[in-house]
Amino acid sequence: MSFLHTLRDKGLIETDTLHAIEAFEAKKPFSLYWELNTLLYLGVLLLNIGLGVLIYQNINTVGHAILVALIGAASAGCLGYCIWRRPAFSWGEQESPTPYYGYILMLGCFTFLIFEGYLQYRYEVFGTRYGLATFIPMVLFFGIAYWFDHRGVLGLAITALAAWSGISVSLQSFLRDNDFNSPKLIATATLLGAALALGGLLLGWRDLKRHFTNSYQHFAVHLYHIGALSGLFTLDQPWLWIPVLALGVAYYLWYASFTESFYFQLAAIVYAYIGFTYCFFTLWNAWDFIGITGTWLYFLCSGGAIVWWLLQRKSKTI
Amino acid sequence: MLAYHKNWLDALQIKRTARYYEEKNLLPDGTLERVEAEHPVGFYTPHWFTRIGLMLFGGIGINAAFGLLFVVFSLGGEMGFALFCIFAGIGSLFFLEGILIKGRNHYRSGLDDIFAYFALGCLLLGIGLLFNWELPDVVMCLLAAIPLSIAAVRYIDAPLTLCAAGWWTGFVLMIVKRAVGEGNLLAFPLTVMACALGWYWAARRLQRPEHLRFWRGQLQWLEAGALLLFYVSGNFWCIEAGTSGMMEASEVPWQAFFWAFTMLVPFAYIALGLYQKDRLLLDIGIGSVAAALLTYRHYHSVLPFEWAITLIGAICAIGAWAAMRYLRDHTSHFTHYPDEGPTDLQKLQGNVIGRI
Repeated sequence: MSFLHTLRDKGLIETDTLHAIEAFEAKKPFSLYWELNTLLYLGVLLLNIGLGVLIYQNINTVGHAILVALIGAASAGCLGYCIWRRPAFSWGEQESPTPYYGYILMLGCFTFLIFEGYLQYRYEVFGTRYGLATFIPMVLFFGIAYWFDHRGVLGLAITALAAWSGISVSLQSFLRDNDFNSPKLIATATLLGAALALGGLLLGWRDLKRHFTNSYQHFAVHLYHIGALSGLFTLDQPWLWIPVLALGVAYYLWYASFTESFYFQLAAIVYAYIGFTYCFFTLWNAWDFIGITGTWLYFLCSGGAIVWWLLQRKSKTI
Repeated sequence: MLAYHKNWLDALQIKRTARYYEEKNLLPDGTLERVEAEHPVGFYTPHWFTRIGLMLFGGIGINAAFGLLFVVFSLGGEMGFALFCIFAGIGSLFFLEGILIKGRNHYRSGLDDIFAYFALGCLLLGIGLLFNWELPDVVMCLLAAIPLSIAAVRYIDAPLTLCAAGWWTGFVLMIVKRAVGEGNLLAFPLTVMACALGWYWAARRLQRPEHLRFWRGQLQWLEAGALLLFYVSGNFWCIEAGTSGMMEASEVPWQAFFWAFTMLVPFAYIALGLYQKDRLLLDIGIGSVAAALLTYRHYHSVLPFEWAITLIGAICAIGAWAAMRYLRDHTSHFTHYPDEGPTDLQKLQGNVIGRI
């Protein structure tokens, strides 16, 4: 309160305003928002994990039809509640109608995944068409994310999209060789990252759920750069992967500047630094002619240069 | 005593206060603009992602400079390295004070943080090496605690405050160890409990005086650390790990007391937190309940794991839902609506949760 008295003494606020603020502080209820939301989220998460394990363990002792019906009913119940309470569709951002609406929607989506997994495990409804098993939740979750305006479900949808792309491309080699460095997987990750980045940008530009653009970019920045760096490290094609990495870094520096996002700026710089340092020491064999002194000098100059560059950016918060 | 410009620190706090009440529509139109114009702040404080970047790449740069100078001067032997560390520490402090803080007005920029940590790390390493790590434990704790405390006060830094409190606690423990010997199983937990209570009392008390307003933020961290330390010092699993691991004793003394402590203190935290409307007590109490349940489960398997997490999940979800429903109609003391906008950390948490 002393700061307020200072403001009053300086004539910046009236005594009436000071009294109004003091009355507000005296009557203000104590907010349990973050505590209750964290408990709700943890509860939903633990409940899903526990139910998933229980079903898996009792798969042979409980009637399958009963289990399928129960899980399906839980999922349908949650989604039904959300359909009942959802606000009218809009391409803009919408307020959640109740504090727990988003959590019930997430619970419905999680239980749908358990439901689908159970059907596949017990009845093999998709056979060996694993792509279809990820394609269905992907389409459903994208629809739900847009229809109910929920970024958490959009995250699930993008994850399902990544799984669907990866599995469709390389399931056989994954199962056969456990080959995480396969060129197809790396190319898929990079292309998917680029598609998400550009898709998100385009949707935002057309004002179609503009607030979803950052979710696409969050996935894309890591998927694209990890793909490009993996290509640089494991595939013997620096002529391809150096420009790919440089393109991604340039795009995200532009995007960071365009949206004034320091997160994307930092991500782009860190990936660029890793890539450049790798090229400097491994591809151009700098160690052979600069030795230990030159190596320290490299890190001093490179670290110093980035610090200098960051200091030039407009990022003051005060 | 403070390294930073006091008027700017005050102006910063005044602007934050004004912004908060502006969001609550309690300030007349134009007041915020006048307050901001009357209280200019010259600090360089970047967005916290830029701060992370500056800390990361500043850390790379300063460590490389340390390595480069060491190679160039090629100082041999442990004594040479010790002197070099002390020299590097003092040099970093001069750079921090003279160029970053006084010259460029850095405050919470990432660079001032990393230079302070690097300088203190070098000084402590250098002092340790200088005496070949052969000083008595009490003296070593004191030698670490004093510079860390001075730096914590001077740079208003929470991690340094917690480190300093840790070393002071170690110092007290070493004195108790000398007084009662290593065999006394109760001396250590009770001493740590007493230290935690002391820290808590001091942190609460020092937040009140107006002339100590600049340190309120880091004293809140100390308060949180003291609450955690108090619980950990009496948690049964920690006591058993300490007695069997450090003292090679087979049985924990005062078992009933420590079990009661483990199970009751979290609920006492929550009850006190709600009664006093103290968020730190409440949040640490909620975390401690999870620790108490895990401790109990470690020794007594009441339910299989899958049933346990299903039950806990259901209790959490239904409890939170019921509390929200109740608070919707009873808003006089508590509310389930946010008091103020989320902090940067909470925004990040929301982003991460939203993307899982």
